[in-house]
Amino acid sequence: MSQFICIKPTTSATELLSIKLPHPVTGLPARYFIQDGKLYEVQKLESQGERSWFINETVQKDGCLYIITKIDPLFVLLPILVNRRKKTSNSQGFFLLIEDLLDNNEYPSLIKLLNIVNIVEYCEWICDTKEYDTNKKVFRLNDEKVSYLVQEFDEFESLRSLIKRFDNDSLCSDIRQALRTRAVLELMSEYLPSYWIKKITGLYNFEKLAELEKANDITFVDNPSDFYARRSLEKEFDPEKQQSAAKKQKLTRSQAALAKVNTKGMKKLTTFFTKLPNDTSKK
Amino acid sequence: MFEARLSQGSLLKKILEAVKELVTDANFDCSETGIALQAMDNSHVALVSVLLRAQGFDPYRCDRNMPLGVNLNSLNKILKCAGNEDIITLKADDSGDTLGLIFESPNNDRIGEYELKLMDIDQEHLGIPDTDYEAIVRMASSEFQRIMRDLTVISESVTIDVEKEGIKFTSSGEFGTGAVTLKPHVDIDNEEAATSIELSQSVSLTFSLKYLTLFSKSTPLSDQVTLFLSDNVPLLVEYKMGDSAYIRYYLAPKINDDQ
Repeated sequence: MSQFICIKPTTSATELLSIKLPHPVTGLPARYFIQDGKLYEVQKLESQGERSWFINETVQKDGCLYIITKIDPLFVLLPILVNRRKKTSNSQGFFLLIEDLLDNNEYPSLIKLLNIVNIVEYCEWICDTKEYDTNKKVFRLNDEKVSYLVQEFDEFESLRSLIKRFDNDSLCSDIRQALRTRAVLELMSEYLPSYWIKKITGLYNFEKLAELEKANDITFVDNPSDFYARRSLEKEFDPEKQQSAAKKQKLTRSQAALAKVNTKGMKKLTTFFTKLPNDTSKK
Repeated sequence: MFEARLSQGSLLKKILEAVKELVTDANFDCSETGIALQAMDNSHVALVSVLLRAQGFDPYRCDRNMPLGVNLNSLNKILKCAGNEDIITLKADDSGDTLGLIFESPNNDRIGEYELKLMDIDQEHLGIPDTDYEAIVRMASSEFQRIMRDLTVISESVTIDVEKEGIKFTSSGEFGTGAVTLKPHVDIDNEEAATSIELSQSVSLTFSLKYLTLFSKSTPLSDQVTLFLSDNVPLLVEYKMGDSAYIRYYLAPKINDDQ
């Protein structure tokens, strides 16, 4: 029986509609959901094979946690609009109907985005539009509109409240503002193609902040994703583990002699031969 | 289900004697085509690759590819219980938990049955490309073993120079130097003693003698050994047991910093 644990929006009458869309930064397929006209993304917390779930009377081997949260459709739309306008040096690109914009052979479920409330308005925020028939609008991405919208991120209600939680009263106000701005940028860089992030980062100056951090040799943001990195470090220094590893290595006499051989100037064979992917036929 | 019957059981005994010197644990990868083993030594500068083709067994049956993870030392201990003339049958069911070994004496009056616990070995496989070696030297395996043994007295490494006129092994150490040259020759009475050199370019490479000495533990498997050399490429030392089996060693050359 396939089961998993997830944190998801409060259940409503309508079912979650599962769709596959290209991730805005990597372009690789990623899982999204649509419910009640809103778009949700899925985040997976890896269990690294070290945890399992108890679900009722059963044990679920895979201890991953899935978190389904709302995402602004603009993030998903942006790379698609960039691709479809086919901008060249001497042309600003094509105007297209929204149905055509979302028609993609690789991601057939893209068209499902039409179920999102106000999807047309979202497009209007970042596109030039033309009306060519009554009730028929064509769209083309406008870089300036995007820049403008992205620069206004300081005003995003959700981001502001999030950042306030990390705020530190002990610092002077302009440093606090710079910290806030940087945190927002870091957050957004997971959703915006690097081209845009570079463009916006250029507008700000974090030098003062960097100097301060260097002088105090601290960082102001504790990154939770370091958790596993730290844990694995701790493991390496686990003396018990090391001992058992040493015990396990029973070498024959000649192997022990080999260990003493001076291998200076001898490259590892892995530099000559390429590693093959592990045989999947393994049980 | 995996089953392989080897009428010449001593072959397996000798292979284990040779390989266990270099590696502790290894996977016997059983497939339709035969049994393969690939493993590196602890410092990852040498690699041993063994292939026993299916046609060398009678009968041979392998329904499904499976790796048999073996502690080579333990397997070697069990194989020592087999007589040199014994017929050895290897058996494993699909669970792959144990390897069954049956030793039958040639006149069928004694049967030994042993079981070896298997283990999961997470092993990386290296893809070894086909290389056009600049020099290929065939010589008597006993001669190769002797040269390695003799030069170990002098130094820990040996420089191998191959030219049309011959192959020269040179060592220089604290108290002196030593060199042995073999010239290509044909011996009609004793084919195994012949030395032959195929050369597209003369090569000169330096290797650790300790490793080469361990490679030469395969001498009982084959009368002839073939060395494949090219500049800046691992040396290949091959012992062929007929057409159905081989054992190959790869060793990284020593590269001097001052060159």
